[in-house]
Amino acid sequence: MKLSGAQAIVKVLLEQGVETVFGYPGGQVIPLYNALYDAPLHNVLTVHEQGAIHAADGYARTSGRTGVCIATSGPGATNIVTGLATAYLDSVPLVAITGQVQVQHLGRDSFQEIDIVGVTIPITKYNVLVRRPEDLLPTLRQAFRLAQEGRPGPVLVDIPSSIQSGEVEWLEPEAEQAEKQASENIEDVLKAAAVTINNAERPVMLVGGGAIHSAAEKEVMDFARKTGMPVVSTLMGLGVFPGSDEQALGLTGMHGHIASNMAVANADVLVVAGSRFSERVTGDRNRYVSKKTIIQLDIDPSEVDKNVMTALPLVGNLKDTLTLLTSRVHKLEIKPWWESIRAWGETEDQSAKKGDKLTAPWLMTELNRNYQGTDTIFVTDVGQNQMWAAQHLLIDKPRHHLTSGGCGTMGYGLPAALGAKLAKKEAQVVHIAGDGGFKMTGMELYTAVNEGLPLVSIVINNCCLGMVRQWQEIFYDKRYSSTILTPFDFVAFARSCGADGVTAKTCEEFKAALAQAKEANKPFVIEAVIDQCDLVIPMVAPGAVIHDFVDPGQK
Amino acid sequence: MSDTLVVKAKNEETLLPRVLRVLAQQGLSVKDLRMSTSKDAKELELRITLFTACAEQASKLLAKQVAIMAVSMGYSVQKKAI
Repeated sequence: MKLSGAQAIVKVLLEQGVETVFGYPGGQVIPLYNALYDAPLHNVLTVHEQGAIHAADGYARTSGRTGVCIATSGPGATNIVTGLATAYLDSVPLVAITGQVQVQHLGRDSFQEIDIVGVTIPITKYNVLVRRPEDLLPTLRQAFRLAQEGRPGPVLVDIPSSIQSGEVEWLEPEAEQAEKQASENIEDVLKAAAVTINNAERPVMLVGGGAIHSAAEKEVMDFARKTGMPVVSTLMGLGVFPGSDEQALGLTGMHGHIASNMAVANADVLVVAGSRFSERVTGDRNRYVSKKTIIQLDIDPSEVDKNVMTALPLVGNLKDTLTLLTSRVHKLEIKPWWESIRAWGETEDQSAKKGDKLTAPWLMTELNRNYQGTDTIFVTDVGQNQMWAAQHLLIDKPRHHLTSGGCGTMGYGLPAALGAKLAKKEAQVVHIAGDGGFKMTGMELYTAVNEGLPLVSIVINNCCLGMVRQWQEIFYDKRYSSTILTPFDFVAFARSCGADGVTAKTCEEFKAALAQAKEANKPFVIEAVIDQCDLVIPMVAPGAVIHDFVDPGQK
Repeated sequence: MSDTLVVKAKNEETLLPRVLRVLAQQGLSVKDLRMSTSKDAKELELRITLFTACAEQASKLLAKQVAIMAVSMGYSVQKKAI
């Protein structure tokens, strides 16, 4: 059967189970958009290609399925670069389809010709330019397979418009032989790991984003319950182990809780499930390891010994390796260890949650009161808002806390929230941003209105780029260089997009605003005005050991 | 002391930049690079000698590249990554 290349692309998308794509048309994807016109696929037309790829990312993180993004050549393609980098650093499965100039115009600096494959080599799991019609189908199918296989990631397929317009012979997919992975003999490591854990006096389990990709929440819970050890989470791992559980110590790292960081710092055994030991997690890597024995479980062999030297690496899918490990460990007698941890926990300042003034920590606890036990997905932006959310929201399920962890992409939140809502319409989606990040991609509120998505979008407005300002306050002698922002009317902006919104300056006003937002049947922005001087604490200085907390009052 | 990496890969147009980028990201400098194709030109073999002997992580990262089938480093062969 002969089809146009564009029709074949659509047919592959349908074959792969794609129902929603996020994109923006342009000169070199007109044939593809022509084929999409009457296809049983929903194309979400965003305001900007960056919005499209972040939305596809939010869709993928929420559903676990591959997100699909379409952009034209040249600026369309370069506009998705930040989104690819965001997905790459957080291991999110995406397929990005970019249009390219006709094959005969390649390499001639044609109008809107950019070597997007060259540009995106370092930020994609794989990328490829399709030069021949016969390569189109196998390349697209390979892209979907690669995006999900092993450690997930984004794949870019660059398709010249002449290939989209030309004819291809439709071939049904061949039954794929699952690639047999060479399995390492891990029996010896398993035995040693089990002995180490069973003899531990101060054990801690650290859960990262890899546990979400492996859907290993049950295995994490089984291991934690069986051993009784405390569980800390990286930013990307929040929700794998329920944040409200008694064994959960919450966030660890630069803005980790005192109990969490102290436990990691003083642990004799650290069991790490799916984390790459980012420097935001470890602080000073040399002192992070100290005298503890690290048991690292990861699907990606290149993560072993990449950032910290691991005594006992277990490479493989976490579901398998954790199950094997759990079967070999027993309940630990660690009562004195838990007493120490609780004592550390009691030293953390909770005054910002009192409710005598509107603060971000209070706001997060109010969100917990409103949404705990419901199917709510929190999508945060980057900066202070992200860290306050990570510290204080109680995330009890995986795929219910979306954030740009590795790349730290400001502007990620709103379009990702849009994608999350489309992936799971029955869930409530709450977007949390700062005033700076909201303004970067805020026009996607218009997309949310067009799509009829009743998001709740909370803008924590401190009239500044808060996290940079915080560093300037603590480390740069209060020289607030280019971080203080002028006022912006978020409510008027929301209304101009067809959404609604209110401003809250007190706790009572916030409660009323949230009640109003929950009843709204369209996107609703709550501008929560907080003090510019509010800091995210606890905080560890960059490069310091993770239990060496900054005391802003001393600076 | 210097390491030699032997990379076997599909003959794709972006293979060389991918390999060189991985090495550069790891701070490794290339002393010598020799390349040959299979008879049908579908496969490439790169023999890369580095100025330094610390290519283990680079070897793991190269093995993750989709087009690369195997990477050997002196004594060991890096299995294809998952």
